[in-house]
Amino acid sequence: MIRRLLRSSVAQRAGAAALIGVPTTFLGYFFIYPLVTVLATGLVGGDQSTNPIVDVLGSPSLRGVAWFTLWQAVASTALTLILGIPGAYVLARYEFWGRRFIRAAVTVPFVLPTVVVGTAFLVLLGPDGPLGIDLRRTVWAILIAHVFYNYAVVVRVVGAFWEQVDPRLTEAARVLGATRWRAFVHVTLPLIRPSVLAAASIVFLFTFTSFGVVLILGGFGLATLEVEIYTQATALLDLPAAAALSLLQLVGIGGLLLAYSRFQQRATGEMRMRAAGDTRRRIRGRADRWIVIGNLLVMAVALGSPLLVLLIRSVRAADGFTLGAYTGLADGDVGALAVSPLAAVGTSLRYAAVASVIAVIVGLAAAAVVAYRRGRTARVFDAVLMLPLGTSAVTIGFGFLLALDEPIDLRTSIWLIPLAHALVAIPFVVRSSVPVMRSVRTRLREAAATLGADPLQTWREVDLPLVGRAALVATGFAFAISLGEFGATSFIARPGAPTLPVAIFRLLGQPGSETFGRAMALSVILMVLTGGVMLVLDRFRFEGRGEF
Amino acid sequence: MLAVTDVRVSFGDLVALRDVALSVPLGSTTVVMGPSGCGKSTLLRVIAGLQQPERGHVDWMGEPIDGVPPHERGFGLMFQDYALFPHRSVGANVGFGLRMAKWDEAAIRARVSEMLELVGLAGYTTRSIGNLSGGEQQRVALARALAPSPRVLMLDEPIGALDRDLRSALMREMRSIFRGLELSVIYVTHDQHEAFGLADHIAVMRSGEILRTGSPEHLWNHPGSAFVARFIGHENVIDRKAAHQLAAAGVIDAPNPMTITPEAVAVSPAPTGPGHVVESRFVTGRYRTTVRVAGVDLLAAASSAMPTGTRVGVTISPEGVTHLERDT
Repeated sequence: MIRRLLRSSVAQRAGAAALIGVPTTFLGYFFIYPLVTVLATGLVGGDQSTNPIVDVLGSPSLRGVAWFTLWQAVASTALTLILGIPGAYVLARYEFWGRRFIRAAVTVPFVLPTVVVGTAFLVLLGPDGPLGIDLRRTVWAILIAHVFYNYAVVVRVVGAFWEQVDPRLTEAARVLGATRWRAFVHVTLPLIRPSVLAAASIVFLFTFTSFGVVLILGGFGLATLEVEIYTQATALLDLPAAAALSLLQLVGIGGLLLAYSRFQQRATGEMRMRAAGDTRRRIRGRADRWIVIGNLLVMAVALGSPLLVLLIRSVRAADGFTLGAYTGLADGDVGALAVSPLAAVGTSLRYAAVASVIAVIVGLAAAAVVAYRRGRTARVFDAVLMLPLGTSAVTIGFGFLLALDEPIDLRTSIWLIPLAHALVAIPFVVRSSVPVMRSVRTRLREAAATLGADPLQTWREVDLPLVGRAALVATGFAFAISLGEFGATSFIARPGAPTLPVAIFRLLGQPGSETFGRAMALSVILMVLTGGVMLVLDRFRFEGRGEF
Repeated sequence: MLAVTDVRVSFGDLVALRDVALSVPLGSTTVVMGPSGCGKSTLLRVIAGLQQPERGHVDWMGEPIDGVPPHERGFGLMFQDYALFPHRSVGANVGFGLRMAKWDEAAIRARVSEMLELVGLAGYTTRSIGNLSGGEQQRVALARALAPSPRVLMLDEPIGALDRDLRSALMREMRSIFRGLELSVIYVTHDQHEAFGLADHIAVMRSGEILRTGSPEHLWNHPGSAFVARFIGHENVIDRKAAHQLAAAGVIDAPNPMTITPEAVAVSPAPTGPGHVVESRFVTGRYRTTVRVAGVDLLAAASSAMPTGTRVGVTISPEGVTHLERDT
């Protein structure tokens, strides 16, 4: 009896240690260590006599940058939620023809490389665009592009949760005399609040650290901290200032995340979850029809038009329409690339596969710690896990290059890019898994225990299948993020094996309409690829019931 | 034998179990009854190993099992809300414990069919949990708890959420299953009908304490306190205060707490009598008349109706009286 007891507690402890150890080791070596190296290099490496942080804080223009960064992020997040929550509702609750396709399609903007989106919006919102008004270098262009980017975050994160919320709860409110709107405000909204908070936190951090879009659409007049860090580091070569800005940004984000995490832990209750297929209904009546059609129109206009502009650009030449840009992709003689643009596709797919596996293993372990542990360990862990999201991809790539030569020289390793991509993707895996993990009822675990399941079996048999859906969504995200990741990759991509976004960027940097066309064609391929991944993932998703 | 000794559990300021001791004989059904919030569910959780007591211990066959995790205790627990796995079929739910015990597939299939047949759900194996009615879910939960042949089966208000007809049908079925399999059962309920319908032994709880234990017959005849008497269904429970009032009016001899069966309360019209009729109802073939005498309401079994307000004389026949030791 006692030996059995001992064995089980040893196994339990080993399991718990692995859950904490794997993400801790991974983040410690591939995130904290490079980050500290960057900051140390910046802080100690300068030759000024004053402290760079004091300089940065004393500069009115840099304080202005910080203020702009904050308010545009708040505005972007609010706009995205206002448009995205109705969209999440429609895709989570209604069953209609093409739903799966649309669900996959709205995710495409999210995974497009910033260079491509920036260029697409320059065309769309420029004087020659279909709107006919020039919004370039205004904050509107930035806000619109941010909504375009992050709409999918709200639809995916809120939707995945929403479709498992028991619709009978809303029905109960309706029967008790609540209007559709009041039922939403008093019943549905409090129920989905954990996922709305999760989505909002992701969108905020994303827009707070927005780089490519602001750089391209904001010109030199409007800059976020990210852009300023980039400018200080690359244009002005003021590494200490850039490092000081990074440090300030990190401190701000860390504080925000800690507050969010504290709030979320208090706000998340347990709830009966239902299989997604059960909660969706067909469109009935006029109100339903308008809700669905209205939202699909928003998606079509807001998300479709930039993509359409991109598509048209890829087949337009000076003398009409042609597929020349696509047929030219197999050529190896494009100046900026050492390989054919097509080879970049294979490179990206391989990296994405490895990166998503790493991200899901590390991310799920971390999510389990955040979800099942109470108190400070969980809170600190949660905040630390979000840091890669709040850290600029550029900083991550730069840090890899600076730090990962010792003790193991990984800088020339083919693992470097997947590791960086996994690092970028892990916060998404954690954010989308934690709310679902927390919502699995304690009763079910206890039932499993009284039926003879040890803690590991309980996790495998009860938590995993219920959380699996969220994990699959997370895998898809990780894969797509890896396909589109640009900031970090631009630092560490090997010249002979560029990824898709790097190839596009290099092509964009070349003069000539031929290479520009090829860049557009390659962008379209990337778009189709990521959309396809999402579509395939949706097919594999667990919709019915029974054995998982 | 399963024995709980001096178990104490508290949640903040609330003491859920106050040094509770209970012994559960094997092969029979022990019903723990008490009002909601009395700690009876917590007691089950302590026995199952889901709740660690602050002090006291649980012994199985004379050996303490306090450090044994729930999955190694071999005790089955059927939850009040069933806690069926929503992502698994009926068959997979019932077979869960067997899979944990590493039975082979064929044996699991056979056992699952056997269990579903036992609870009257033959052919439900591939059904999904979401489409079951409340009564069907209850049966699946019972089959799931029974399948691994638990050493002790615990049921937490297993039929409380169901309607009355279904409750009595399921009660009959459970009784025959428990007897047929010679199970050791701990059954928790707040319902006296369930308790007396199923129990070999009853323990009455209140506010984290066990007040009284015994066989149904013994408990009925010797409830000990006014609270227990009321809770198990005695209809005329006279506490000390009421006894004083009745004795002063000359209805009873001595001012001691007692219970009186309605049949022992004789009521006759008397214009100058000390009591009057409060109401007279026709229930299950007989009249049940409530009379108020000396400020105390007494229920009397009567053969004919009496108009409300009728002045009456009341006499108590001593063979219907059970003496109580205290009020609570």
